[in-house]
Amino acid sequence: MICSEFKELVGAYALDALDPLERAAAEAHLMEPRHEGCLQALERARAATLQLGGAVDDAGVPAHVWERIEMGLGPRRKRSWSAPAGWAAAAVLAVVVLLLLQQQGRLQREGADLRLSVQSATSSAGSSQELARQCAAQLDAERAGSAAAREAIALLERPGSRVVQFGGVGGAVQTAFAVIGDDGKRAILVSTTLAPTPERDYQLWVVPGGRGATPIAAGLVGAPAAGIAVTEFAAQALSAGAAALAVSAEPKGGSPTGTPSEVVLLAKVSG
Amino acid sequence: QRRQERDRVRTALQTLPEAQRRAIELAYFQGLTQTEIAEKLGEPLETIKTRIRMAMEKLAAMLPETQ
Repeated sequence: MICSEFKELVGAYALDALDPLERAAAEAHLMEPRHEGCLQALERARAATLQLGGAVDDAGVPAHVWERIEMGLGPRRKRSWSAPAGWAAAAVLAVVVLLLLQQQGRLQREGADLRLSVQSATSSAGSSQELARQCAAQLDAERAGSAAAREAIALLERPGSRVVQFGGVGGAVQTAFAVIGDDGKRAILVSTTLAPTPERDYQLWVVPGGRGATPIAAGLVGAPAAGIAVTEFAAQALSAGAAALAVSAEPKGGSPTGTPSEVVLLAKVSG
Repeated sequence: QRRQERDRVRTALQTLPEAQRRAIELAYFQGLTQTEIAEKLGEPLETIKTRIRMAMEKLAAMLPETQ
């Protein structure tokens, strides 16, 4: 695919209306290093697509998204929202395990480096106290990230646990998986693309089953450790069960309205 | 503000020719692929692709990223 061809279908790509082969070709093209306006065209198309949801209701959440969840999801989106079966599930599982193990390995190495830094800094004169404090803070973050990764691996290894893959909404490019416990009362998000910025947080949501169900806030996605964000959904949000899990982009600190502002990822859990 | 935003998007959609708006609605609001839309409407796939391309070009011009 060349740039002019990509720009011909960029609108359909942003709408997620391409067939799988076309979509794969478009995504392969995006991976190429040089472009003639492709990325700008994609940004414009995505901006328009994301605003289409505003035509639906006052909550700013695409109503069809929730309606589709309630109806068991439409035929097309199943390809990216459903829990994959058979070999596909094994492939997803392998990716998650690989991500988590990579993170653990990196964190262990970085943790060792940080410990040395802290020891070195604290053994120096008082002028190094700030450095020591900063290193200690990083070490704490490393421990937290490592603990979350260990939790995810432990949950993954429990009998009956499963993995669901999130699908992008409205042309979103983020990807994520969720490890879900056998009783559905625990879920941990794993993502290499979700990361808070100074202006934006990503928020987790649990969508209970039943018509008219309101999404329940389940915490903010934490800062990635070694490039991988691992965040557990709030237990109380899962207490009533989940038909779907979602991630929304929000202003810093989370949704100001109590409802998702801009859903970027969705994963069907039940059904 | 949400009402203004909704009105702005609805107005943009209303300015599209009926056939283009229908294609966008089926793609975005019903989640169909271009092929599925072509089958549903009994139209050639290339026709649907053109409608979606033209509609998205217009919408991108009318709905620039303002946030």
